[in-house]
Amino acid sequence: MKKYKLVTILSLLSLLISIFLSNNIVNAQNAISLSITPPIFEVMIKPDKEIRQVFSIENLGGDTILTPKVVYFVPSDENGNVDLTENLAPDWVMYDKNPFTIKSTEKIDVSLVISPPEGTSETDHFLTLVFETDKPTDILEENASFYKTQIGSNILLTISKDGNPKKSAEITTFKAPIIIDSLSNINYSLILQNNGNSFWKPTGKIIVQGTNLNSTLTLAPLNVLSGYSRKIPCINNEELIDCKIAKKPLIGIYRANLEFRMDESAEIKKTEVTTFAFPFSLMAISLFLVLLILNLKKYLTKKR
Amino acid sequence: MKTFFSFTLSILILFSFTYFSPFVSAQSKIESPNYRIQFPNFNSGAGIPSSSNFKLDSTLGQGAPGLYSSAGYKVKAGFQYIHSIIPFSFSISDIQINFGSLTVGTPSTDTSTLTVSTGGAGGYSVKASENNPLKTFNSINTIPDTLCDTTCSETSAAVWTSNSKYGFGFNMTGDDIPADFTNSTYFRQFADTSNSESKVTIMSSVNVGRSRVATITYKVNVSNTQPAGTYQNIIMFTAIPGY
Repeated sequence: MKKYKLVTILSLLSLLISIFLSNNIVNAQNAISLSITPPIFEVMIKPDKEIRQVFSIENLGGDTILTPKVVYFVPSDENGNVDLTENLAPDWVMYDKNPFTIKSTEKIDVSLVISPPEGTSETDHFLTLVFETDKPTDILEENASFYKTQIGSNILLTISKDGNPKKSAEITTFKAPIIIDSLSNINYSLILQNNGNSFWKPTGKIIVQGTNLNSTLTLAPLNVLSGYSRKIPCINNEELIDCKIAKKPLIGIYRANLEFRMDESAEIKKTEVTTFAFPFSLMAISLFLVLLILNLKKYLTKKR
Repeated sequence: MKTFFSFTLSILILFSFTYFSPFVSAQSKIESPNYRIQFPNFNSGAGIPSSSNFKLDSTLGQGAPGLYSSAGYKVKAGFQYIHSIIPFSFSISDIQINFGSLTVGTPSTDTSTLTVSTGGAGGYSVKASENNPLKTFNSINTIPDTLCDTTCSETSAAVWTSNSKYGFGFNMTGDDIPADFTNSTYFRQFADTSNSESKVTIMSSVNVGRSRVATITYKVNVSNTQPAGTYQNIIMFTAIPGY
C-alpha cells in the first residue's frame, strides 16, 4: 500500500513539474532572446583580397523576423562602448540584406564577406553587424508599448597593403596620488590615445617599487581605436581590475614605471609617476592620543 | 494488478520527463551560457574566418610570420579573441507591455526583465529609445513623456510619485543601471527619436558579465482631459558588446 502511495505522489509531482515547465516554455515564446557569436571580429586585410566571416545568431525567444545590416559605429566613451550611426558599411562588405525568419531555438549562420577593392584607402573601419527584430503583431489593440530589439557584433577592420600600418600612441593620462596616506592603496589611472592609422592593443605593465613593495600590474590588452582614446584597466587571470596595488605602502617614495608596446611593435612607450606615502592617519591618531594624555594629566594635576 | 498499476504510473513519470526535457534545455540556455570555457566551439562555423585560398585555424590566429603576405589578411588574436568566441546574449521577458484601460489619476505600471550576458572583454551597453510618445492610431492624441514631479528628462531621473503629474516614463532597478535611478520612485522619459533625441544607455558595464539582470518598470498616468483612444508606441532596445 505504501508503495502505491509513493508511486502516486511521484507521478503527481512529475505532472506538476511538467505543467510548471510548460508554463516556462510559453514564457520563452513570449520573450525576445537573441545571442550572437562572435561578439567581436578583428581583422586586417589587403585591398583586393577577400575574407569570409560567419556570424551565428541564435533565438532562444519566440519566432521572429530579423533584419540584418552593417553600420559604422563611433566610440561613445573611453570605456569601449559604442554609438551606432546611420551610415551603412561600404558595398565591399557583402551580406544578405534580406529579412529572415528565425524560429524559437533556431540558430542561423550569416556570412559576411569583406573584399576591399584595389585602391581602397589604408584606414580603419569600425562597423557593427546588427540584427533587428520586427514589431510584434498587435492582436489586442490595447494601450501598449511594443518592443523591438537590436543585437550586434562589432567588426574592427584595418585596410593595409603591407600589414604594417602606422601605429602611434600617446599617454594622455598616467596618474597616481602625489601624496598618499600609508593606510590607503595606490590607484593608477591610465588613458591611452591612438594617433595612428590602425587600432592596437597595449601590451605592457606598471612596475611599482618602493620601501616595502615591488609589484607588477599587467595592462589589459583592450583595443584603442585610431583617432580615439581609451581608459586602460589592468588584468588579473583574464579579469579586468583597477590598476591598484594590493599591498599598502609604508613611508617614502613609490615609483611606478609604465611600459607598453602597441601590439607586437618594437617601440616601447615609457613614463613614470611618483607617489609619496606617509602615515598621516597614524600620526594624527598618535597626536590625538598624546594630546588626550597630556590634557588628562593636566586635569588630574589640577584636581589634586 | 499491483504490478500493472506501478508499471503504468512509472511509464507516466518517464513520459512526463522525457516529453518536456528538450524544452527544459532550451529554456536554461537563455540564462546559463558558459563563460569560462576556453575555445568551446572551434570546430563550428562561427568565429573562424576563411577565404577562398586559405582557412584560418586557432593556432594561426596568433599571426604567424609571413601569413599576411600569403593570405592577404590577418585576424587579430589575444585576450579578446579568447572571449570573442563566447556569445553575446540579450533577452527581454516580454514582447510588449499592455497597460490595459487607463484610469484618470491612477497610474498604470508594468515591468519587464532585461538580461545581458557578455563574454567580450569590452563589456556591453544597452540603449533604449521610443519611436514617439504614446499616440493614438491616427497620431492626433498623445500621452506626453513624463516630466516627473518637478522635472526629468531622457538622461536625468527624478521622483514621480504625484498622481496629479501625468505622462509616460520608466524606472530601472538591478544590475548595471544608471546611477540616477536612486530608488523605485525615480523615473525618466524615453529618448524620443521622432524628436531627434539620441538613444540613451540604460544598462552598461565595462566588465565581462554573466546574466546581468535589470527590471524596467513603465508608468502611465493620464489626466481627465486626455481624449479617449488606444495609445501605443514602440520601444527599441539596442544591445551591443564593447570593443
